[in-house]
Parts: sequence; structure tokens; C-alpha cells
Amino acid sequence: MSGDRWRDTFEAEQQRLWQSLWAHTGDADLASDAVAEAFAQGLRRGDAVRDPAAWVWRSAFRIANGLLAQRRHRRAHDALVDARSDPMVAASDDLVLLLDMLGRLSERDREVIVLALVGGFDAREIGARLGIGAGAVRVRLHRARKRVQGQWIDEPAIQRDEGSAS
Amino acid sequence: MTTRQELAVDELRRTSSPVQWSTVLERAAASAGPPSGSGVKDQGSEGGPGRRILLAVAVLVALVGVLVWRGQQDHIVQTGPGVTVGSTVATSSSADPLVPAPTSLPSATGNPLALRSALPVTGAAGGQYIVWGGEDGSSESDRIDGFTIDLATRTATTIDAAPITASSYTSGVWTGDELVVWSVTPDGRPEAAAWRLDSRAWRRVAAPPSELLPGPSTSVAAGSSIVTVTRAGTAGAYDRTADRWALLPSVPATSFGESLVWTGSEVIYWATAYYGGPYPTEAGRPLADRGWRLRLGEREWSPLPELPEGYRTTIGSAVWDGSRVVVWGTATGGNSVEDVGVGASWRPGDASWTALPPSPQAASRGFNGTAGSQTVTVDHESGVVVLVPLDLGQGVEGRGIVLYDTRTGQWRTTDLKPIVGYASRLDVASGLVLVPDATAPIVGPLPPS
Repeated sequence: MSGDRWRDTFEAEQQRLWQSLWAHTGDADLASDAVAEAFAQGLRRGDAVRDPAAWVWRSAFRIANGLLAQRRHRRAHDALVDARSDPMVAASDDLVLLLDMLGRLSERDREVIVLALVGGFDAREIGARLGIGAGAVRVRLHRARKRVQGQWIDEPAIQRDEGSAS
Repeated sequence: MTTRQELAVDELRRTSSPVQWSTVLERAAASAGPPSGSGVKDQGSEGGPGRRILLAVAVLVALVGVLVWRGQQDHIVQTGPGVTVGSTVATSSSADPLVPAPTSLPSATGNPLALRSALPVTGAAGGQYIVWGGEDGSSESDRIDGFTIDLATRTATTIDAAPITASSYTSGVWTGDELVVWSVTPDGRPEAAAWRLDSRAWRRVAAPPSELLPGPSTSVAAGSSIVTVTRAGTAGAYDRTADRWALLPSVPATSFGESLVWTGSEVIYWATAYYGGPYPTEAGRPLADRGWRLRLGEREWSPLPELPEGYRTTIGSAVWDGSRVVVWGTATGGNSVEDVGVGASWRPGDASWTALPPSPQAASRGFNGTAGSQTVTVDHESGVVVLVPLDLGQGVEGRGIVLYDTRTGQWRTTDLKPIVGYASRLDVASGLVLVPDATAPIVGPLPPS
């Protein structure tokens, strides 16, 4: 029974989750690892998790951050160099640039940007997935936007999010 | 107007995730927790300030619980049978009628004697079962304390907290006479300490290089050294005599749920199905497990022979029985609904593996805990390999521990039912099957051959 619930959640969430984690980490392999691990851990917890979707997003990002920390002896986004040679992922120049830009943000700021840009969530939804309040999400979005101001990332998607998230 | 950013995001959204549900099932069944080392815990679905308030209340309740527990402990010390003094409490074994039934020890959050999950460090020496670290579900950090069980008197004594920072990235190994443990501070500074059984005292020792931290790792005592391999594949050794760490050649393949064994002259690294996309597969499941060997001082790991056709495992575990490596896991080609346990043994120097005879277990659902380093152990006195049965999570009531005698090639079934938490351990010492739970550490006596 519990397995069916997690299977349904997997079908509904994993695609967008993986894409978001790829954007967050700049590493498709690491994103795959975090997604698989988060769902595996959720599966082991079974019905103890009330909201599998929210739980798995939060957990996957934490796992990904842990894996990034684990690899901190090399630049977290070194994998970008490999992205285009990865047989699974043939990223365009624009996508590589986007990932590179995201990689220059702090982990916390990058999380909210990615969930807004790639996940398409509003502030309240982002907050539910990261375990923080919507207000804190808006603060981070604002801060992140200031940090990338004048650089390659433009703002439309984030602006829309902030407007709809109150 | 479509911006370059929007084009990039659109491209990203059109890229398909390579993660398969079968991979999740494999991962859930695998032993070692990973990224469990990244501290992920079930925190329910609530987010934001409300959750933090609940957390604060929970901490308060836990503190009160600890105070109450200390009071109960004092009471047990004065009145309970089989009890000694100090921080020692009674333990129980369902298989031994002479030992009192489970005491009134609470299973409350923060109980240092509760079952340790997530790969605690365990070992045995001098009639003592040693347990350190792991998780008890009370915190996002691993515990940095532990306990010993006197297997003759069935009493537990706590091990003080190690002088290292509690984190989600603690690692360690039992060397036979001391625990060596390491962790990392929030600002990334490695720390290490050692605890001796004879003095029951901690001391600081040389900290590992940052390449070995943070993150989950697997370690093994290797003579006077300790060898550790991280999930990222970085390997290192700690020379206990010189109190010095050194990096070793990285392992050829990263893994999850990996095993390390020491043969007396070489370290064997057993990588379970490789992880990381795009997930090479065999018959729809992750590629079969493989192993490598390294003699300390050599510059690269040498591959072990491939497991024989029909006996290749997924999420297998490797153990050393004193003369050969024994690998056991679920057969490749299964479907996570009907798994079959298979295995093989290999003597260093042999050109090939020898398949184990068929296990007495019928095919069953291996999901939720089967192969993995915490579910396979060896009784070094008898050479018997002790396996947690398949179908642990789904029907453990009906299945007991399985034994394989490497000397006779015979399998046996038992009625012993392990109590196993998430990525916990199974050990054998003094003829007893043990789990890292101070309140009920003894699963039962290992049946004689």
C-alpha cells in the first residue's frame, strides 16, 4: 500500500525533481543519485511520511547538498565541464551557461532559484518543499536576484513567481 | 520575446530523467545508507516556523525524557536482577530464560541504549560487544556515544561521547582493541579520536585529510592500519602506530552499500551495483557487483575475477571467513518481487569464484532489506556465514537467520529472528548472534554445526 503511494509520487514528481536537482548541482549523475536515494529513503519510511511529495523534494535537495559537500575538494560544478560529453546529456551552450551561473550562487539561494525557475513553484510551494516559510523564500529570491543582477540570468520567471506568491 | 534563459530552462525541462523505479527499489533494499550520511530524516510534511516550534517542543520533551530515564536507570540499578553499577543497566535476550525480560528502559528519543541504525561501528573483544555511533532517530546527527555489552553478565555500560563533533558524517572502525572514529565540524574541519576498551577512555588522534570527509564511508581494520573508502571513491589509510593518515589510490568504481574486507595481507573492496547515471544495467537491473584488491603500498587496485554466470549478485555483500571472501546477494535478473539469494566464494590467488550451493530460501520479495554489509557476518570461530533472510521487511516473522558453513558447503536454517533497524548491523561473538540494541542485544545462540 505504502509502496503504491511512493510509486505514484515517483511517477508524478521525479522528472521535475531530477531536472531541478540537475540545475541545482550542475551534475546529472549526482541528481540521479539524489533522486533515487531520496525515494529509496522515503520508501523505507513508508506511511510514516504524511506528504511524500514535499518530503522527497526536501530530502533530495538535502542529499544533493550532502553529496556536493562530499565532493567539495573539487569545484562543485566541475561536472559542468563533463555535461556536454555525457552521453545522457548533450547540453546546449545556453544551458551550460545557466548551470554555470547557478553554480555561482550559494546553495541556499540556488535552491529557491531552481525551484522557481525549473520547478515552476511559487514561494509557498517552495517553502513547503524546503521546510522554510514563504517569507524566507522571498528573501532568498530577492537576495539571489541581486547577486546575479547584470549577469546572464535574467529575471522574468522569478519576477512572476514573486508576484504570485503572496 | 524568448530569452536565452528561457530557452535554457525549456531545454532542461525537456531532458528526461534517467532514474528508474527499479533503481529506487534496489536502493531501498541496499544496506548502507548514503546519503543517509547526509542526515536526511523523515520530518513529516510540515515546513516553516511551525515545524521549528514543534521541534523545540520535541527537544524539551526529550530533555525531560532523559531526566526521567536517568531516574529509572537509578531504580533499575538498585532493584533489577543481573544489574551492576554506575551507568550499567540490565539487558535481555529472548533466547535466554535466565535473563530478565526487557527492562523498563524507555525507547524514548535520545536513549543512548536504543537500537542503533545507519551502520553503527560494532565489534567484539574480551567477552564484550562494542557498539558506537549510528543513528537512533533522535537527531539529524549520528550519535557519538555508544555502549558495551558484557556477554557473560548480559549488562550494558555506556561509552562516553567521543571528543569529536556530532555530525551526519561520522565514521569509524573497531580494530580489536580500540575504536577509531572521525567526523567533521560544521566549518569542514576533520576531527578524530580513539577509545580503548581497557581504559574506557577517549583520546584525540590525528585527523583524516579533508579528501576523506565528509560523507559516508566504509572502513576496515587492516593490521595496524585502518583503510577507509568514501562514497566518492577516495581511499585512505590510518597508521595507528604512527598516528598518521595517508591517501591510497582511489577505488576504480564508486558504489553504494559497498563492503571492505581485510584478508590479512590485502584489502578487498566490493562495489555493489555501480551508482550514478546512466545506470549500466544487466537484465534490467544495475550492473552486477564487482571487486578489487589492494596490497597496502601498491599503486593501484587489481580487479577480482568476475562472479560466475548465474551467480552474479546485485547489492551483494562481501565477508572474510578467514581463508576466503564470500559474497552473497540477490541474483541479477530478478524483478524485486521474486528475488533469489545467490553467492560465491573466492580464495586469494584463485582464478575464479566457486559458486555457493543453492540457498534453502525460496525466492521471495527481497525489497526493504536483504543483502548488505549489515546483514551478513561471519563467526570466525566456526567459519559460518550468518545471513539475514530475504524478505526481511515483508515477512520476517516467518523467516529466520540462515547459516552457510564455508568448510562443509552446507546451508542451515534457524528460528532466530533478528531485530534490525534501517542499515543496522548483525554480529556474532561468543557464540551469540547480536544486534546493536542495548535493551535486547542477543538474538540468540548460534546453533552448533
